[in-house]
Amino acid sequence: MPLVANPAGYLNNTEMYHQHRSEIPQTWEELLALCEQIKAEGILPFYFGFKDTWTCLAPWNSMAVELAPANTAKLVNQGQTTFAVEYRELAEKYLQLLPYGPDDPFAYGYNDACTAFARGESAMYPIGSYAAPQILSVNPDLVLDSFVMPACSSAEGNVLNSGIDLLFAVSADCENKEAAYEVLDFLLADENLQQYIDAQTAIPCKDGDFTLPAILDGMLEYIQAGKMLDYQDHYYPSEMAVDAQLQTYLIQQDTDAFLAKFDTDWLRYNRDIIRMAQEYEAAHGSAGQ
Amino acid sequence: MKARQKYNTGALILLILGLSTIIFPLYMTVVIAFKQPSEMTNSISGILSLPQHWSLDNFREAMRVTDFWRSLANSAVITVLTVVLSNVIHSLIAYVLVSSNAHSRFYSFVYLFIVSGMFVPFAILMMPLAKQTAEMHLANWAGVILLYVVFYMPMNVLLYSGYLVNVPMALEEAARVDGATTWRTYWRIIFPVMKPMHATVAIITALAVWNDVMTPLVIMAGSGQNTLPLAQLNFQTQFGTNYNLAFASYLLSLIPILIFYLVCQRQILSGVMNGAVK
Amino acid sequence: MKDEKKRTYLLITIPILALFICFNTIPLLRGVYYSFTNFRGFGSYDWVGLRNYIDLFTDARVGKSYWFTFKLAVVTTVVVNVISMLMALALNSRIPAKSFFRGAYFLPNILGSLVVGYIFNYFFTYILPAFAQMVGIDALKSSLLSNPSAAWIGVMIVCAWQAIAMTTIIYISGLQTIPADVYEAGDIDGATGWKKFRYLTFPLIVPFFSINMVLSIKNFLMVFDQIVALTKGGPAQSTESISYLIYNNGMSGGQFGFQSANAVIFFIVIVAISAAQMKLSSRKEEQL
Repeated sequence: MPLVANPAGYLNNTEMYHQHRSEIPQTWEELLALCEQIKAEGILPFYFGFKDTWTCLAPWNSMAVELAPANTAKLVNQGQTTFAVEYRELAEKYLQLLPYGPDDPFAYGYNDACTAFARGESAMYPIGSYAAPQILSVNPDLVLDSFVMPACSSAEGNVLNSGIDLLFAVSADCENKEAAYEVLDFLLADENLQQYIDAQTAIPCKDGDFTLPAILDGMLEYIQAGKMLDYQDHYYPSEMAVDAQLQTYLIQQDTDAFLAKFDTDWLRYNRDIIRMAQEYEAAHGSAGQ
Repeated sequence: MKARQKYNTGALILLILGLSTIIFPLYMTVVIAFKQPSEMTNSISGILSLPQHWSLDNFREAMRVTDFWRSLANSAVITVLTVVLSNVIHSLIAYVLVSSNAHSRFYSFVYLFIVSGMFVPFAILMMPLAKQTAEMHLANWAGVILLYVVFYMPMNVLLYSGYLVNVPMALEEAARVDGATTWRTYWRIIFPVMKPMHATVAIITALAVWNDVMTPLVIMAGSGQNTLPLAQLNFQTQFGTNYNLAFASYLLSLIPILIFYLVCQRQILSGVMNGAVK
Repeated sequence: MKDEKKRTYLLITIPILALFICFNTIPLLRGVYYSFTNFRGFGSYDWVGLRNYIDLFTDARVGKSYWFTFKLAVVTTVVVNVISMLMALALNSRIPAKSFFRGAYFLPNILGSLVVGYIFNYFFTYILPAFAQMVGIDALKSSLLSNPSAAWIGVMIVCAWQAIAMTTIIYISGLQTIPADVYEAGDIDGATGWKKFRYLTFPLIVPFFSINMVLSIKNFLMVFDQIVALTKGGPAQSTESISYLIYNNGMSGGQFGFQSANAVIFFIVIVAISAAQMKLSSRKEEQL
């Protein structure tokens, strides 16, 4: 039973940002131009917390939904394409963000980055809304905005990256199913759900009359239009350590090596699944995209 | 014998300089633990200066977040029980093996079998043990204690048997003549005679168990209970934005062993030396 | 009488042996068994034969972890032993407050390595760069731990900081076994300083030297706590020790079967190294 989803674009220090401008970039080129402008004013555009490898996935995911097909993993498993093809633009664009971050992004982890951003050391922070509680605990007076990461050259291509953040499951063997369901009912009750999303800056998975936190205003149109896609990294097997590979890539900046390794590792870690999927499709025919 | 009063000043100076490499990290820990986040700047004076107020607030908060007293109690219980069981069981089996080693193929095989366990790194045992203890409902502090008793058996058996070789058989024979059973003889006479080695084994085992991270991490991580190092690991991210809290917590976890060390320093040093030499 | 003794011995041995087999031998055998499967740690699994072992030898991540772990073990052993030898000589010579110094120098060894790692993590990330900034040493201005080629040095420093204590103690007890007459005889012949060390002291403490080497290398090959505290295997996966990889990838990463194969290889390596070193040192001792 899914409870809440989280939207991930980038966070914005409202005061710092709006001191000098009011337009939100709608395309990739506008984003880069904005970064140049901010940098010229002597402010750091982005903060990164890449010592914790999982944070490397945040910008990756928010751009992947716009630059790679949603069913990339499936297509690769069917042998119809490779990651070297689908992720190339994504990988190259990611590198373009690095000059706008701190000098040594790999020395500082997620917590350091949240603290730094909360203290006004950068104007923006490319991470999901789930970081808001952490940031606000450092600086409760901070006013935050969040926006979709625009990775395409045209505004129509923009998609909000959002996926299920919290999900509950009851095992079939559970001996106390009634009690478990009671807990779930409690959690799903409107007022409790509202409390949760207020505290954690999340989107409820339940239909109803909920007030979304103000921080999500910048993404509201995407949420309401349903223009959202799931995290690509939900398909990556954890043993492949894509987060660590991304960190390596960002340090070494060798796009070809990174993509080639992605493909070979993928085939190796997923070979059982690929074999099973191919056997299934051979027996039952491919069931559409 | 000439009585030279001159000190080796070169060595002395070197030692004092070297001491600073030990003192400095500890000084930093104490100072940071007492400061507030606002006093933490990146300048040298910010780093080296003493805190403005020596308040215990950080410590109180750290204790609350990491459930300090309960973790401390868990660590203490596990350590004490492991040491007691080790002293009893390992000395007993060492005695049996040493006594029968020479004239029984079975016992000399058992001896080699157990001692060779020393070469088995925890890395290869950790995953199967994680599964096994879960299956046996031992994925908790009790399982951890059992594992320690088994894991330290090879080394302690080696230590005890090294010591026992020097205990004269005459002692045993005398007691036997009086009609005492083997069991009685052991507890009445042999066990007390091994006191120095008991101290050594106790200290080495206690130090190893108290500080161990991997075993509790693999075995009891899901049980909702923590040892002191495990609590440190689990709550590290909770301190994320506040290094002063984190350092207060580190200091708290270091204090018990520091006290133990200050009190029993001499025994610890000689115990460790003994063990290492054997 | 004799039967009673035999019976007692058997009654003692059987349960203890059973305990040992249950928690040491059986897991070892199960580990070897799992290494031939694609077990994820839960659910069902299939027998895959030697596939895991073949993968091991072509996996760059595993290769990197062996290289890093060995590099760390060898360099740290050398650093620790050299420094410990010097310390032992100093602490054994004529200085005041001997027991104070010995006590102080042993302190790092009893502290938990996880917490020590966290403390040094802060030191390397914030304090060292700040000092470097002030004094003007460019190389250290950015954190040691964020540099893929230098992060291992940070790990080495922390390992050495704690290990020097123990090794020094062993050398001290070694030095104390050298009877004073040896030195007096040497004095008569006019041996001083380096000569004294090389021809008198060192040969007599070689047994302790070999103990230290075996213990050191074996211990450092199993490094885990410091990795967790300092780098979590990064940056760019440059500091994943073998134990850490087995834990990270095997237990949290669901590659139970594959990392069991890794663990088997690791076990064989450790046994081989310990055996080789013991042979080497016993031969050396005989020669002397």
